[in-house]
Amino acid sequence: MNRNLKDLAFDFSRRSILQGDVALIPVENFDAFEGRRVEPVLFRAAMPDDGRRDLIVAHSETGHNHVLRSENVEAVVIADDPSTLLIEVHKEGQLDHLREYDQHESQLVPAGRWVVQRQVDTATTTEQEVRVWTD
Amino acid sequence: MPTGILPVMTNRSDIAQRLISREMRQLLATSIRGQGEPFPTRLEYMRAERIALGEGTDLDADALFEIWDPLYRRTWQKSCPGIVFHDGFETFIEDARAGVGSAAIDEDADSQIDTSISGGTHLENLSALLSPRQPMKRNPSIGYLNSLFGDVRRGDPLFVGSLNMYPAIARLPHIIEHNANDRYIKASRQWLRAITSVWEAVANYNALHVLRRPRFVHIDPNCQLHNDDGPALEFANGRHVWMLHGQPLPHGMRTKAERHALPVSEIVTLQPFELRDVVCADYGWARIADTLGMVIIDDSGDPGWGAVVEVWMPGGPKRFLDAECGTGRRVMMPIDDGIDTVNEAQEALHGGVPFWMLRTAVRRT
Repeated sequence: MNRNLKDLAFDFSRRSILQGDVALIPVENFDAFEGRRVEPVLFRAAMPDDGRRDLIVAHSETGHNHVLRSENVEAVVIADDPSTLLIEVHKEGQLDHLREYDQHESQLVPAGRWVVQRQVDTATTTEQEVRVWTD
Repeated sequence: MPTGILPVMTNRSDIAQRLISREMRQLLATSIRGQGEPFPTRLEYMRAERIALGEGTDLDADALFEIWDPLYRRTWQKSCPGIVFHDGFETFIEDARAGVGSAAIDEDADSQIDTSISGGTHLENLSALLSPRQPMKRNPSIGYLNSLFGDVRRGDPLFVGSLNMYPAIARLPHIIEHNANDRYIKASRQWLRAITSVWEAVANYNALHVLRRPRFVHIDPNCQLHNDDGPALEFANGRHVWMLHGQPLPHGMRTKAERHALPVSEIVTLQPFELRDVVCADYGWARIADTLGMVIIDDSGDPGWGAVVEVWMPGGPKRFLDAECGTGRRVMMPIDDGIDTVNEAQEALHGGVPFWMLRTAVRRT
């Protein structure tokens, strides 16, 4: 993981959006990511009622995902840093937390370019050589 | 008989790169460089997505050759007489190792297989052999990927090895159908049948060793093998792998109930520290801190923005950002020892985004 989002072209006409451990940072462009390899993000199936698609901006193993719902949003993920997404919202959407209790309130997401960033515990080392335990 | 071992899927990533993404990557790279709108037209984006999903039908003969030639040369031209199925990881590794000899034919292949097989009992390489970790790290749509595993569990031939290869594999039925008379496909039909129905495959000169799909796999958002109350993986032979956020769990702390019954004094002395940390996180850092006591290093005065605190643990002090999330719950996030202020902690936890961009958020929910 190689993240340093200090030098983004921040768009000061919009304000950041924080929902739980997910942050949407407004930017004017994605120039700071020039040269980084990106991959498309897979959307969930179209919503049958309104045609909108869910973009899971942060996945929860328990299914309590943070999803961006918009009629028109496009997204790529930084290949070597999957907790960072680059999204372009063409039409105002809504950031929802799919949880029935302790739910983070929904927030409107204005049109524009955003860098989506999820909090990551940087102090825990996980790379090591260990024995596999089986029973 | 020549010795040496040929990792069937050695080049899978390269092949997939060439296959999947030549067009898509060009499109996306152009977009990211700011030349025009991020995606010039909706149609182009959808086209790129279709290609990424393996739904395109634009493979030409050159691309086909690129896929098959390395695989063909590396396997059937050098003869691979049989296919051996393994239900568990242990025999798979042992038998694959058995084909490794001293007379290396393909130095590159040997070095790669040495890395993957000889290190097979290491977590990193186990994960690689089990296939999903690397590609899943690249894709945050874990829910989607979990659905792929659901497919795998149902036993439908889907993919083998790296999910990088998935789009290629997804295309295989069409490629096979449309090129049934192609000599590579004719020669590789049996091999194809094998690799598209297993979890992982490694060939040596004795056989193509294939590992059947595990019955289930659980992962966390960072793509580490993980299940907080049960095995993270069950091989086809019923053997389990117990992991918590990628850390192997010894007996006595494999279930949540077992871990939560442990006294704090025992949890904080677990070794290695990586295991200690994931068990502490599962137990609740706040409970640990409240038990051991903590010192406030910097307090913002805003519970939502938090305070930097230090907890004395066996082995040395450990720092945390202690804050309330938007729902009012208390959250303690480990931070680096060199962080002294809440602003620094918030920046570090958000990938370096300046704190003033975070603190001026519309609202934190």
